[in-house]
Amino acid sequence: MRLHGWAWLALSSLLAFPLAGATRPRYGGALTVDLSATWSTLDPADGFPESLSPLIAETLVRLNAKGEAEPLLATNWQRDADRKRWRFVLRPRVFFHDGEPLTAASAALSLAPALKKRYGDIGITAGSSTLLIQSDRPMPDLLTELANPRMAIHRKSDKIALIGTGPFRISAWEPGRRLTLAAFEDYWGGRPFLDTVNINPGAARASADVFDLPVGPGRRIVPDRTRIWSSAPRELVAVLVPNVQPVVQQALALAIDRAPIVTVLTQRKGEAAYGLLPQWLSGYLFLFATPPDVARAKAMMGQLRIAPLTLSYPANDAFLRSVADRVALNARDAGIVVQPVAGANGNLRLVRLPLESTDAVAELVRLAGVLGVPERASALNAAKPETLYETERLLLEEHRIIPLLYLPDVYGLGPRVRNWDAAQKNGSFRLHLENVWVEP
Amino acid sequence: MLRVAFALLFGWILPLPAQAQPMGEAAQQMAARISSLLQRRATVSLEFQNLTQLPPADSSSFRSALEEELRKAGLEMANTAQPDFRLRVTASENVRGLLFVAEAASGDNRQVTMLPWNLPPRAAAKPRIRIAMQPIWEQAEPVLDLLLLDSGSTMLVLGPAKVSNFRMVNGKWNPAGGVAISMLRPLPRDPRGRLELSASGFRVYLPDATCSGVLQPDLKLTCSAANERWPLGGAQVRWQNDRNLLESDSPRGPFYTVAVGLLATAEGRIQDRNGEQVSGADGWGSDVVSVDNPCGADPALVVAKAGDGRDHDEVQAYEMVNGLARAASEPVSLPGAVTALWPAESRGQATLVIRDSKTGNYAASRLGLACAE
Repeated sequence: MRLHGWAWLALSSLLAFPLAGATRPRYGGALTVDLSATWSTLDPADGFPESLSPLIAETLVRLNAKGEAEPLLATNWQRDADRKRWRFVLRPRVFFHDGEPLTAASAALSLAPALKKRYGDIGITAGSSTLLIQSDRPMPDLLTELANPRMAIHRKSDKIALIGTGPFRISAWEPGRRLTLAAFEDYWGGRPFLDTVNINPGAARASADVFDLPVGPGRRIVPDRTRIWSSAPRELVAVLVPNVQPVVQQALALAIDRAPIVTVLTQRKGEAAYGLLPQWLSGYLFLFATPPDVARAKAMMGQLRIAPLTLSYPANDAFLRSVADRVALNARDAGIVVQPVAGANGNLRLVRLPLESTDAVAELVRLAGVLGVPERASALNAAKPETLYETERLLLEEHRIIPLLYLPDVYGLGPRVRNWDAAQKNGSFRLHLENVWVEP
Repeated sequence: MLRVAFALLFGWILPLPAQAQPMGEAAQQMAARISSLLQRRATVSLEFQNLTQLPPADSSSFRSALEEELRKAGLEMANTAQPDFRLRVTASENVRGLLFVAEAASGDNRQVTMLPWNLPPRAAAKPRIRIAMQPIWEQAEPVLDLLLLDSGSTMLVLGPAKVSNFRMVNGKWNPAGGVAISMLRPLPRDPRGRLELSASGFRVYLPDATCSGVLQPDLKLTCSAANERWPLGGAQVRWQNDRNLLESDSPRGPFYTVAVGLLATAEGRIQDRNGEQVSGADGWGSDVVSVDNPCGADPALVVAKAGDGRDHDEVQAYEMVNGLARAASEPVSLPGAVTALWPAESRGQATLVIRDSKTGNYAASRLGLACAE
C-alpha cells in the first residue's frame, strides 16, 4: 500500500549534552540515592518508578520540556493524515545491556503488549529497521503514549529482571531494598559519567548524595552544605467530589483557604491550585484564581440541611491527612461538616494526581478521564490554548473536583553532586543521572 | 589577509530562529482578537499585568502598541468608572513560550482570548571591555570546533557525527555539503573534537577517530579508529578513548586542555609543566586558550569560568606575570555554558562555543583581544 500525504515529523536525531559551569565533567565514582518510595518490581509497566526506569530502559521517543516529541530510540517518524498509520525508523547501532542489538523485531515484541492494552486491536509490523504501527482508529496521542516509560523497550531473562538500552544497566537488585546500576559502556549516547548508582528505596536518611524530600510532615533534617533542588510543580492535590450536590461543592470550594496550606503545610514549597494544569504548563491558571469567601459559602449553604460528609485520604499519607484536617476546619466555618477518614471511600476524596508529561493536551485528556468525562477533552489543540482553557473551565464547572495545590519534586543534593540542574533540564519528570557527575 | 577576514567577521549577523516574532506584531494580533470579541466604538478600560520575565521596557512598549492598535480597531480607551468592557490583558508564559491572555468583562459576562507568541532570543550580553566576541554560527546540534578558510568565505563545522561545509554568499552562510563521520564507538557524553588545517586540507581529531579531509573537488573524509596526535598549546596531544580528556607524552595526562605550558588537569587544577599549581588561577574552568595579546609581548590566556548563574559561564583574559596569573580584562558574561574553547587558525583569535541556556542551541563565536581605550 502506498502511503500518501505522509508528513515528516522529526528529521533529526538531536542529542542534548547539558553541561553547566566551566568545569568539564569527570568520569568515575558512585552516586548514592535515597528515595522514600518503595517498590518491589523492575517492570516499567508495573510499578517501577517512572522517574528511574528511563535510566535503564528507553522509549522510542521522549517529550522535551515544551511537551514536544523528540527522537530517542526512533530517529524519525512519519504518519498518515488520519494518524492511523505511523512508521518509526529505529536508531542504528543501539545495543541492549546483554550485547544484543536493538532490532525492529525486538522492539515490536516489547511494545506490543503495552500498545494493545492502550489501543486495543493494533497492528505492529517490524521491517528491517522500521516499525509500522497501525490501527483502524486514529491515534493522535501515539507519540505522547510512546514517550511514557510504560512503553519502554526492554527484555527480561531468567537472571536479569530488566534488560534495556539505557545509559545504566542493572548490576544488582534486592527487591524493595537496593538497586545498583552500573554505567553501560556501549550506550549509544555515550557512556554515563558515573561508574555506579546505588539506589535505596524506602530510605528515611538524608546522608546520601541525593535524597528526596517529600513535602509535609516527617521532613528529614538535612546536613549542612546540602543544596535543595525543586522541580516545577508536577503533582496536583485535589478533592474529588463524585456524589455531592453542586451547591455544596461550590460552597466548599469557596470556604477553603489555600494560603495556610501552602505556607504552613508545604512550607511554601507548594503553590495554590485553582485550575487543573499548573501555570507553567497552561499559562492561564490565574484566570481561575478565586479568593476564599466564607461569608458567601455560608450564604450558599443557607438553610440547606445536609448530612456530615466524609473526606477520605490515603491511609499512609501523613501530608494528605494534614490537608484533610485543614479542609475540614475551613468547611466547618461555612457550616459544612466534613469528617476526615483514612481510606478511599469518602463522599469526598483527597487525592494526589501527578502529571505524567509536559504535554498539556495529554494531561488534560488524562485528568478528564480521571473525572470520568473523557469525552469533554476530545477537541483540544495545543496551538490554540483557548481550547484547553475552555475544556478546563467546563471540567471545573461540572463540580467534580476542587483543586487545592500543586507540589514539586524536591531533592537534597550533597556537595559532591555536580551538573544536576543542567542534567534535569533534559526532559521532564525523570532523573537524568546519566549527565550527573561527582567530585572525587 | 587574516585582518580582512576578521573585519568581515564583524559584519556577520547571527541568524535569528525563523519563528521569532516581534512584539509590535503581537500587539497588532492581540488587538485584532480582542476587537473581534467587542462591538465597535465600545468604551474599554485597560488593565495590563506582566507575569513573565519580560523587561519592563518591553512590556510597556507592548501595552502602548496594544492601546494604539485597539484605537485603530475602533475601540474607545476610557478611564471612566463605567466602561462598556473592562479589559484585562496579561502577559503570561507556559512551556511553549509567551502567552498573551485577554479577558473582556461586562457585568457577569466574561470572554477570554489568547495569543501564543515566540519571543526573539535575547542578544548575548555585550562585553564591557576588551574581549571582542563575534558570533559566527548557531545550530541545534553540538559544534565541537570550527574552521574558517579562504579569507573567511568558507566554513567547516565539526559536529558529533559529521563535518559540514558552508560558503558565505551575500553575507549569509549557505550549506555547501557535509560528510558523515563513521564512528565505531559512541562519542563521550561530553563530546569534544578538534579541526586542524593540514597541507592537503584538514584533519579531524575525535576520541577514537582521526580523519583526513579535503574540500576540493568535493568534501571528502577518510577516517581511522585511532587517536593520533595533534598540536595544542605547544604540546602534541591525543584524545583518551571514550573520554573527554587529553593526554600526551609530555606533559603527561590526563588533562582537559593545555595552553602555553599550563594544564587544566582532570582533577580540576591549573598547573604548570612542573606540576605546580598556578597562583591566581582560582575559579578557572577546564577550558583555557592562548591568544595573541595586542597590548603585551606575551600571549594572553582566555579562560572559561563559572558565572553567577548555574547555566551562565563567562570568559576572562589573563596575563602570566612571573608565573602568576593576573586578570587582564573584565569577565564577559555568556548566555550559556562553554562547551568548546579552541585556538583558531589565526593566533590572534579563539573559537568559543556555548550552549545557549534559553534556546538550547550551540552558538560558535570568534574571540579576539583589543587594548582598552
